[in-house]
Amino acid sequence: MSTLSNLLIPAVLFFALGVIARLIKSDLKFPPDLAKVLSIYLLMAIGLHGGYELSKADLGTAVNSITWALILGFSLPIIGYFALVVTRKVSPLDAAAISAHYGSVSAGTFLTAIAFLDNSGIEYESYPLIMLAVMESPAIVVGLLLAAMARKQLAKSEGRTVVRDEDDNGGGWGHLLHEAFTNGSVVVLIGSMIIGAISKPSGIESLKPFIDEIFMGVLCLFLFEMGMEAARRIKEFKKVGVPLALFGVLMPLVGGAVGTFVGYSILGFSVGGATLVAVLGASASYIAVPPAMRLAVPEANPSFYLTLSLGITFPFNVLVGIPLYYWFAQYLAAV
Amino acid sequence: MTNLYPHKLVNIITMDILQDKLAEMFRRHGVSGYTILRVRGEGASGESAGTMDFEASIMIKVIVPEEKLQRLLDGLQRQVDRGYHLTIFVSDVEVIAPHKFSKPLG
Repeated sequence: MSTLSNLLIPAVLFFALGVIARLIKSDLKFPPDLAKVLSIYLLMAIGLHGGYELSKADLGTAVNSITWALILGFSLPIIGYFALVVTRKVSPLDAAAISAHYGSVSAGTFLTAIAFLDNSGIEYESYPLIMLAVMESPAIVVGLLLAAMARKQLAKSEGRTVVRDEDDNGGGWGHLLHEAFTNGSVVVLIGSMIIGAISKPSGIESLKPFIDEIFMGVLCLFLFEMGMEAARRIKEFKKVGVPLALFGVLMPLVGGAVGTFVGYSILGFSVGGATLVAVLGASASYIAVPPAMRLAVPEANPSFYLTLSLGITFPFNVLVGIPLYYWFAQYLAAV
Repeated sequence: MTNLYPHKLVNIITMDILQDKLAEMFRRHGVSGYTILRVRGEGASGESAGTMDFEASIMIKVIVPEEKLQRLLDGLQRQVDRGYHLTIFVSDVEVIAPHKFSKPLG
């Protein structure tokens, strides 16, 4: 394993530049909404690309991948929740909100892993891309269930009942489930995959400059900004504390190990494909889940889950995790 | 001479994601309209630079006749009790077309 070669990918270097720019208090600022524009582009491009590849794929493997994506999406937050509750570092409601982030996925980390594999000339399957789309939502649902459970328990221990809010039409269950499954990034990704799968190959060919040639450049720009965002969270470290920060490193290791095993041993992917599944297991959402939790679990402290997912786990995965999961997949392949 | 009529201006600073929820509440409280501004700042819930979706802050301005104020404030208070961060302040304003503020949103 050569960690250095992973760090010398332009996308990762730009991430580091973003972190440094923030640390030296540079006046560099990206225009508002740029990250949003870039992430829509990235999901669209990767969706078109993956959908096109998947149109030639095997249906059985695709169905298997989706099944395992659901299993991972539902079980990882439960593991995270119990780890947090047992260690008693945060309240059960905070634990519910945090674990929802860890069951969901980060497309930014996934794309960085693709850059890593491309850069090292490693082949990978397109099935993990469907898994990326599938894994965005289940953890939100689990997080909401865990929060509802914790809320009930808390009320019981304080001798009161959970009051239903008459003004709750905007945050009720139906509304939240609708949000979880019609989330913007899910729509862009799945929609682009379908377009990629049913379009005429000549049509996809004409999109090549858009989906292939500028892709890595846009990813650099995106990670540049995300590096700044991640570093902005560093000053919140104090609030989070060492034990919780440790969770931000250990949870991805657990998720990454489970993901590698699922990808390589159960789904039978190549080392590259297994690395991508590992990244899905290891990464924590910082785009889809935070607003959902802010809306549904207002009692949880946002600086906990944001600092953990964006300030600790994301940089950890980009800088250390991806080569580590790749190494683990290679190890599984060798034994 | 143009007459002026006293009304109440309710200002709410909160997070962008609460927009739909509050708009729905305004409708049920017979509010005639509201204005939303995108804002940035720093406070009890940390810095809101507004670069990421989940931390974008908004300021909602609602003008209501005095008799509708208390019910609206009660509704807002219930949101605060549930744990949402809302900074609410009310000021006196004078309007020139009071009928505009008595007609509920459709």
